[in-house]
Amino acid sequence: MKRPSPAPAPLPEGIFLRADRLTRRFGDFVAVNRISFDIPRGKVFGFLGPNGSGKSTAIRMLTGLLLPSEGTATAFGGLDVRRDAEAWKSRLGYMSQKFSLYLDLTVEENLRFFGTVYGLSEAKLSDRIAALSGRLRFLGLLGTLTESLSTGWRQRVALAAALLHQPELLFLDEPTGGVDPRGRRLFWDLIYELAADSGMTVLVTTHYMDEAEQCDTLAFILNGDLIAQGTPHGVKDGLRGRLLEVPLSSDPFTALAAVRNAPDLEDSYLFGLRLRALAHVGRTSEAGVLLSKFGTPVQAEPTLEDVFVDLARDYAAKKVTVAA
Amino acid sequence: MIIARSLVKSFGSHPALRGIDLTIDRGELFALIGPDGAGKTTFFRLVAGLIRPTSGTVERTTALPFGFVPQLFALYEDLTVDENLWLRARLYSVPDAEAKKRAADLLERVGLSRFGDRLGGDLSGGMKQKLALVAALLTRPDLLLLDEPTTGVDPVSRREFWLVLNELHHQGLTIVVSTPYMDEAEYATRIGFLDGGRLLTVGTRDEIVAGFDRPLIEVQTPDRAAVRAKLTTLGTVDDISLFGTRLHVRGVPAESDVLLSEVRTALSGLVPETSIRPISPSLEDVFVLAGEAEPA
Repeated sequence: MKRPSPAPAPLPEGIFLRADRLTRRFGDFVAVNRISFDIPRGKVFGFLGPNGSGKSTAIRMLTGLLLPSEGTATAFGGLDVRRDAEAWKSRLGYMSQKFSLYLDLTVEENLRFFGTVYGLSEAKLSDRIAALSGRLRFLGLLGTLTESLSTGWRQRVALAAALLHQPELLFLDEPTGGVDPRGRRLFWDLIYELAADSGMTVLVTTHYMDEAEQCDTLAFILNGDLIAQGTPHGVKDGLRGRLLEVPLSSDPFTALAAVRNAPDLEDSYLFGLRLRALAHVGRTSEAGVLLSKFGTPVQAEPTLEDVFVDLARDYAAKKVTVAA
Repeated sequence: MIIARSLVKSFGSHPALRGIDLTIDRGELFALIGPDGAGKTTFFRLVAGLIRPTSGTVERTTALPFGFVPQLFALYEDLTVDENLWLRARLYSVPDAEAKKRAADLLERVGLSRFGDRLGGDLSGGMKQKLALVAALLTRPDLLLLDEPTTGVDPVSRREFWLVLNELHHQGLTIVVSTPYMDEAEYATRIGFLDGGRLLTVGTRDEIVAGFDRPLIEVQTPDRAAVRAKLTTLGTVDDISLFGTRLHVRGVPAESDVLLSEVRTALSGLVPETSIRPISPSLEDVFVLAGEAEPA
């Protein structure tokens, strides 16, 4: 007889989900390697990594679709994803940028279809459709064929479909890639509102760094390892003060080529008609002198892309050291 | 190099481009930025001569065949990297000996030299993009069109890819690249913002940002809901954008320090003064404002 595993220890106040040494192996290949992190309740948590980083495998475990090889995750006030996968799945919502809406159905037909799949009663479903189409401002579009909607509207309908059963945890998979700036702003405003009003926790996976900027806290995954976590502001701290920028008057590439391998610089790249250079720790003033032959260097605010590139290169360097 | 005049393209009753006037000069590294459905790919197909305009004209003054890297690169997954390139060279009548020399040189430049024997199907997303670039350059074009070349490519590969573009541009190649990402457009020397088939703004990054005639303040706070609620009551505040733990607070046209002092006063006790500072706008701030002026 299979013995029930012990109930997980309760999470600290304010923590909605805890991943504890979550691991997944496929044969000898370690897709996700003992990753641990906490997701605060009612906040937007970003899970970042390029394709093939283990991000999708981690998400499949965190959505209860794939059993971890080791470690586990706890959430929903006491569920363990290994033990309670079915209950876990029923209490989360999922939306992908590759929306799964049926284009030859109307907006309302799509919502009714998904609501039925979630097992909502007819009356409950009608209430939820009315509430969500009001809140997401597509009441007037309920009878419209999904095919004729723009990307931004489809995205909102897909969000409504994911929210029909009032999930406590919402997964968003690259939700706003390719959406216009206004549509994107409306979308994130809604997400923040939902998080603030209902305490819904949001987990965003993306490899777009501008989407990552929308999160309260971030975790970076690479080759199955969690390589950094913190707030967007906090993860930039390691680079802040070291990233310099100088405007170029002509022939940017010649300027770049001149500093590319300078020993004071960790990295350099062109940013339109500007040269950006990341100084090694403690070498900012030397880097400033180096750049001053092109103009007056100023400090630039690092982007999350700068952070990611820096982390990825450090990580690669460490791997080489370990292997040697 | 490319001159579009009142360029219109409709597919049935759907207008994809609604009158584009744009000149791209020889030697530019031009980014066409816009969301999905803005008309970027339609513009490229018109420039490439794959489809004809509904009205207006587009001229391309290139003597040589131009290079085109489409969004979905047609690559034979069961041929090696080298075989894919040699096949393409033959299709464009590049002599074999010359093709091998060029392919080797280009692969070296993008860092794919070691992968000549690898099957197309076994390449990563970033490597496929680099191979697509090499394939487009085999014919030695003087104009290169790239349609969303780094979509789905990781940040490190994207930065390397742009380094290659920078070098090609330096050597005289005219490059037009489309992208849905604001941050990527900043790598180009001139930017055009396309939305709903219209070209809303064209210029260098500095020119575009200089056109933003509003004060802008950044507030760094974990408590965005409360901060936003406070600020929406201020008459000097025109718009608030949320970016995670940052808020961009746009003022009505006025002096920047008026907005700053009002925001600091309104948020005293809630946010420390050091977390409230004037900033210069991002491209996204500019385009959101430009988009508001347009009919929805």
